[in-house]
Amino acid sequence: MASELETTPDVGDIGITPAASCALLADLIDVLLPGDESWPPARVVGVQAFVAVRLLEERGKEAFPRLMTALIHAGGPFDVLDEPARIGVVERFEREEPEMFGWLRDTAYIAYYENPFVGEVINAKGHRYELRPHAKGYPLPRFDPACHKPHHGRGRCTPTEQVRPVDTSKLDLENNRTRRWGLER
Amino acid sequence: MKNHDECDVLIIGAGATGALAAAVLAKAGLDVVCLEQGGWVEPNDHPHYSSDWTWQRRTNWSPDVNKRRRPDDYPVETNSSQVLMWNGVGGSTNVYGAIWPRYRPSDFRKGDEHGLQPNWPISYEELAPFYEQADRLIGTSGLAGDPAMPPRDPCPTGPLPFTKAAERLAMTFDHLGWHWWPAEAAVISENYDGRPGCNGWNLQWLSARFDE
Repeated sequence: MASELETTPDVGDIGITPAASCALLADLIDVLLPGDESWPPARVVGVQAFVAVRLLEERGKEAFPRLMTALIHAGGPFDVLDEPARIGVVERFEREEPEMFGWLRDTAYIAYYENPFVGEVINAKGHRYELRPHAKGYPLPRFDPACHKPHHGRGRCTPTEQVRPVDTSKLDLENNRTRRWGLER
Repeated sequence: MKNHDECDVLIIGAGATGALAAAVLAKAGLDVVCLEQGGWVEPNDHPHYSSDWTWQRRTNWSPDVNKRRRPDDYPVETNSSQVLMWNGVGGSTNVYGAIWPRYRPSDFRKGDEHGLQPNWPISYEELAPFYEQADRLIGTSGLAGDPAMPPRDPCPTGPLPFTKAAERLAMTFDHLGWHWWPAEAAVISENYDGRPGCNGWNLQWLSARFDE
């Protein structure tokens, strides 16, 4: 029970209700992955729910109010803004919290492409796409040496018995030091 | 499992090297004990059968031990951006990419070629027969004949499929005059030694992305 409480976000301290914070996250997701006539909007397929759970699992309960604070600081909530202004909020959020933004962007994209409705769109566009590809895999043509074997002839190799030690006696290795590479850069 | 008070060979770590060595020595009749600091990973333990496997590969099944929080994990302090490590039977092979390039002959003789570090005590040529033996055990896929490497036996399984991504890269390398060659991999391209060949689950998607 204690561990459940530790992963429950508390956004009341920053003056925003759970419902409002949920909407704020969903609006952010909507700007990141708005969808179009063929791709469903990320908000519609519920990406924000996966992002919220993964945010708590990976970064702890403090991460949620921190995200809400950052979004409000960047100009949120989004609901009264037109589209250019909503994009502006996200751009400010990206500038002000680049690490958090990057994590949220990647997490949203992953959750989106895990979604069965999105998978259906990918297949409809002619790309075979399985949500769990490991079991059956995909049919692929075998390597054809006649077509695929390199014929460039580049690269050479010297047998070890033909290699002679290089003379480094004039390099003064005991005294010369560089800071251009290595651990002392 | 037997209790061993004595054994012929004690191997610390059942990763790629330790496990292969244990198999070879045990088949030769020696009594071998492998010590491993983590447990076994069973096929069904993997996230492959979950639609959130991509997420799991970035978190609890990440190759980077510092990004996981599994019971057998412990953090590693390092400047490296990613620490490939798995504490358990199979070691890092549980999560690695399985590309198996051999060291180049020049890697063994840096002392002679650069003079800035000692040569290895053995040469590539001395090690090569054991590379061949390991490749036969694994079923390594690849293509013999790379002019940048000494001659080698044919790979036990042929090269992996030549995806559109590989084709694009090869064309670009040719344009730049760079050397390229199909990589050797511990991913068997066809059925081998009772194991099913690679089903292309990852290659297809990579190929599709380059098709757009």
